[in-house]
Amino acid sequence: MQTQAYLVVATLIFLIGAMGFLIRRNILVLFMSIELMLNGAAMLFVTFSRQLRQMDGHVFVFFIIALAAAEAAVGLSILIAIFRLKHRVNVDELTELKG
Amino acid sequence: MFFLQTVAPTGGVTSNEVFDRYPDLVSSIGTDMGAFLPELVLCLGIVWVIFVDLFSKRQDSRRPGWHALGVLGLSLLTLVLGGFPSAEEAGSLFHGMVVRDGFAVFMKLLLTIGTAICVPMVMSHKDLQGRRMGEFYGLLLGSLLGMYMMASARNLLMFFMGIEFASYTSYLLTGYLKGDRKAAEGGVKYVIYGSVASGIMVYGLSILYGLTGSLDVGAVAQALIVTKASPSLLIITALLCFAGFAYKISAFPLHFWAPDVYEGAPMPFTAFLSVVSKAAGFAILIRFVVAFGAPGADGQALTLASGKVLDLDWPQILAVLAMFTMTIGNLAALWQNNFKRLLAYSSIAHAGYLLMGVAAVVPRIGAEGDPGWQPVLFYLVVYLFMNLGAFYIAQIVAARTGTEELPGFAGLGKRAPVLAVGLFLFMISLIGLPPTGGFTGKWQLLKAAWENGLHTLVLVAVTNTVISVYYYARIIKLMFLDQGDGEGYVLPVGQRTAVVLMVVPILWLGLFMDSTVHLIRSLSFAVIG
Repeated sequence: MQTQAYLVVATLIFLIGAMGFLIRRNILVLFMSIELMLNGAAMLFVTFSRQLRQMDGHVFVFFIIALAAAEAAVGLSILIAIFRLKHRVNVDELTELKG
Repeated sequence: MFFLQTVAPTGGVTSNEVFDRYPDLVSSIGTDMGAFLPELVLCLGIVWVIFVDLFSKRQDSRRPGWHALGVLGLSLLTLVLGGFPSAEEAGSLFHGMVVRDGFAVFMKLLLTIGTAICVPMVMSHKDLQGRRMGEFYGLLLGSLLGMYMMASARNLLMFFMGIEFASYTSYLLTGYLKGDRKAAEGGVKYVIYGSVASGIMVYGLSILYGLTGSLDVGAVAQALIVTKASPSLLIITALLCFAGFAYKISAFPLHFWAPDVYEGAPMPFTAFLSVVSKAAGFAILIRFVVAFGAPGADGQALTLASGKVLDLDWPQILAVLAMFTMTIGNLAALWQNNFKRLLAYSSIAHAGYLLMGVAAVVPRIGAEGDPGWQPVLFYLVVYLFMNLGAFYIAQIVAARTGTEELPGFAGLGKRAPVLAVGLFLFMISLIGLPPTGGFTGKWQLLKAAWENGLHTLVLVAVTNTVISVYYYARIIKLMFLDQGDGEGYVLPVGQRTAVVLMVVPILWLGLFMDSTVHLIRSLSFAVIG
């Protein structure tokens, strides 16, 4: 029962992130949504790892956290590059490339 | 590594427990490092290239490029000296994190050669002159290192790490030209969609871990045979995991980033993305797919090998994705006027053809003397040379005409016959006509799919090939029949040699494919289970 509660919360966090990604248009908010998605997955890993009495999932979570930080660094640096050029942080206003 | 062993574990009970449970942990890591040499060379090479850049002048932007080539050569040398491990030698390193087998070595060779072709393109690209290029080469080598991991990953953690390692460096390289609007925009789009794809994938991996209780692909596959999970949950999990791979190989439904990123990125890196990155994506996808068909304990493998897990027909699901991928790529390519964008859609279409080969992999596993992934690997070799060749010539033309749009190619047959004939052959190969490798490669893919009952898929693929003739032939018509303005020019010897060096493998693979096919068939694949 307790495990299921964690699963529901983790799935909710993931879905909130996914919805945020689809609805919001500010790139910074998009990155936050992606963090939420990653955290949902991390929470699932911890839950399963605890339930299975293994360390594997816990270790995976450390890597997710580290990679999420690296991702934020890379994403924000590219974001700064585009902000300097356009002074906008909205995905809808990126229209240089038609796609 | 002996000094680590001799130090007595003093940190209390926990470290003692670890040493008791894994007595050979440290020493085995030491011995595994020997087989990990190509990766170590790259690791040091990344630092070295950046270091060299610190001590060279800004105008001397080619210097780190030569060093990067040296590092790639050294890595290639260690790979070749290590040889292809035979079936007995194949195994895993670092307690099952990474596999060492013929398949992984072959893929690493392919990836290294692809990168080594891209480096001279970077060195001669005019927008990348007179900049600090150390980071560029460092990131390029880093991306290659991530792809090495992708080619040899066995643990789900390594799958994730490899894909992310290769991706993050690619994001930065796409937006490397900071002042360029297109490059910055391509970079932003790449990083956003890429992060979402990897977020979705890691969520899928976490469910997979929960269902099976293991991170080892082999153990996951074995556990899935006996799982009581519902088919709908399993198919959702598989599709979530597939998101990560699909994004790497730019397959439907995660293909839409490709055209924008390809157009925004500097040309040599577009070439790298479309070929090397895609090859690594297919390597990891094949590893994933084959793991689910590996021989199991007691005949259960038969249910897996026939492609049916829990009454779900996996080859059919892959086949549908392949159909969508190739059709979308080819139809969108018809209206493109930018060469990079055209090749972007063409590379989506090719991802579809290759996915057709992957769909045919599963039922063929276990067939004597014929690893199911042989056609896919063969086509990847052909694709490497033909696509990189096309990009190389496009870069030379773009540097001369100052535009990457298609009209820049008008009258190329008169201005620079060598380039025009080279591009003609690459286009013929991309269409899939004899006597080029594109024909033999595509023929093998179609044959594999047909023999495994994917008849609709084969028909769709053939129809797509016919559609694709239109836009490839358009370039050929522009080059030879249309009048272009601009002076004729004589190519430097280096460029001429490079074009010939790219054309030769295409013709070789088209006319004498047997040796390559035999080599690929003889590769060992670490049986996971």
